[in-house]
Amino acid sequence: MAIRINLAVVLAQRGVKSKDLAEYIGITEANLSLLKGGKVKGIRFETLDAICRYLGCQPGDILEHIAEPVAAD
Amino acid sequence: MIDSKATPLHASTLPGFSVPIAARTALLFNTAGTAAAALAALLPLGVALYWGLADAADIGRQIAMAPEVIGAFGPVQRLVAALITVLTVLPLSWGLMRLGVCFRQFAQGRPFAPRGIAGLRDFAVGMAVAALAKPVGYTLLMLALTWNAGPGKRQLALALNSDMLLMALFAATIAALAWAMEKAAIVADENSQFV
Repeated sequence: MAIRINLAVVLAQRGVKSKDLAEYIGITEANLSLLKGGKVKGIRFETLDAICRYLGCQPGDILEHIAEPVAAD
Repeated sequence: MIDSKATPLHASTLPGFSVPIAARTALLFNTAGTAAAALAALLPLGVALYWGLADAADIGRQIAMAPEVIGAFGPVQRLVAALITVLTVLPLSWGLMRLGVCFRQFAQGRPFAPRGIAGLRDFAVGMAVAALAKPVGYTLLMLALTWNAGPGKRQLALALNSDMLLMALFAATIAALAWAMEKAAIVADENSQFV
């Protein structure tokens, strides 16, 4: 799927530690790390809401759609 | 980017994945599991003992046959009858053993564990095979029981009763439930990959 997770970038820009964000959202650091790496199947609105609230950003800052090239016939 | 082939966060196969379960419920499932395993062992043993110890007249009464039709009921006939009946109940016995595995997974709070679902599905298979084996077993049993009867008195009977049909229907219901649980397990597994 062509959805890029820019959470690591936003975290770095805000100077926020993963540990603090994970604690605020209520998930483990390991799961946050998987989310940062895009190694999850999805993100709950509840989690997205908590991330945006803590980092003061919009969902679009964290999630980005990458257009995939259309395969030639 | 989101990796759709990512390792599940809390896959049901992981030892730690379980739902909270009340001690009383766990005890109930454990008891059911033990009862299923005990029944699985007792069922073939019981029928073997019946054919080994039952009186020939009692057997005649049980299957509604006159003593002259059964004829001489010797040890070989008893052995053959026991063998046929044990073979008929063995699939059900195996199914009950597998059901015990399913109950034990439930008791551990793992209702979507693949082992438990496979146990439930195998129980349905065992029951279906036992339901199919019943009429075949009855035909063979009648032949074995009347083997020593006089000329023209040997019987080849066919039986199809409501017990067998209900058993097959019950097996189909359990198989459908196992299928639904398998689908639910996939959904639960996918949900576990959401953060």
